[in-house]
Amino acid sequence: MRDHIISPRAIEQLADLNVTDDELDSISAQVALLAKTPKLGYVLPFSDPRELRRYDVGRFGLIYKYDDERLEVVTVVG
Amino acid sequence: MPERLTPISKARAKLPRLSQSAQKRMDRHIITLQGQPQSVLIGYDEYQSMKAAVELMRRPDVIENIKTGLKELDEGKGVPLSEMKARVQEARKAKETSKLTAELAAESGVDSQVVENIMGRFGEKMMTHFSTNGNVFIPGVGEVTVMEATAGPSGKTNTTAHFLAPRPSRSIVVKKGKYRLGKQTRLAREVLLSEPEKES
Repeated sequence: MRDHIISPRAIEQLADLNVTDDELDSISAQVALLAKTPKLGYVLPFSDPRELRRYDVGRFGLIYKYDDERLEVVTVVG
Repeated sequence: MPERLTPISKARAKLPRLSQSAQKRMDRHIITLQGQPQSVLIGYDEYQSMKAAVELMRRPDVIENIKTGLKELDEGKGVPLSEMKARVQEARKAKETSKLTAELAAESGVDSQVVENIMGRFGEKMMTHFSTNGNVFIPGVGEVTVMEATAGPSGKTNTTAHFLAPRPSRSIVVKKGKYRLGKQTRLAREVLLSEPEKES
C-alpha cells in the first residue's frame, strides 16, 4: 500500500477554495483509492520527467504523482 | 501513440476495431477523404487528457502551483494525508485572521502589524480569562460569558470565532443579549475600533 502525501501548496489551495469538511473526507477517500489504482487519473503533459496525473473529486482536480512507495498530491485546481 | 492514415471508406468498415485500438493502445487514426486528412479518431482517455492539458496551458497559476508543489515534495515538506484536515483548518484560520486584520487596518487606519499584535494580545487575554473564569470584561461591551451551546445554523465554524472563543461549538453571551458565533466578527471589530465606554 502506498503512503498518501499532500504538499503544503495543495493544502493552501484547498483552504483558498473554501473546501468543506465533507469535501475533505471525499478527497481522503479518493486519494486512498488512487493509492491503490493510481492510473485512474489522466496523464498531464507537463514538462517534468515525472508523470503527473489529474483526477477530479467533485469541484476539485487533484494533480498527483506516484511511485511504488507513495502517492503524492502536488496541487489542487478548482 | 502511432498515427495511422485511414481512408474514410475503410474507417467506416473497421470503425469498432479502430475505436478499440484508439482507446486501448492510444492509436490515433487520421481519417482521410480523397487523400486529404479530415478528422482524427482518438481514445476517450486521451481526449480527456488533452482537454486537461489545454485547460492547464490557459492557467499559468496552475503551472506555478504545480512547480511549487513539486519543489515542496522534493524537499520533503509533504504532509501525511491523515493531517490534511487539521492543516487545512489551520490555513483557513490564518487566511481569515489575515483578512480580518487587513479589514480592521483599513477601517481604522492603523498599521496592519499593530492590528495583528492587538488581536493577538486581545485574543490571548480573552482566552486566558475564559479558561480560568469563564468570562471576561470587554471595554465598551460589558462582561462576556462563554457558555456551552450548539453550533450556528450553518454548522460551520468561523475563524474569527476561533480567535475569540477557541471551541467552535460555543456561543458568546453578552449582558444584554445573545450573540451567535457569526456576530463575533462585528463584536471584535467594535471592541477594537471604538473607544472604551465610560461606566454610567
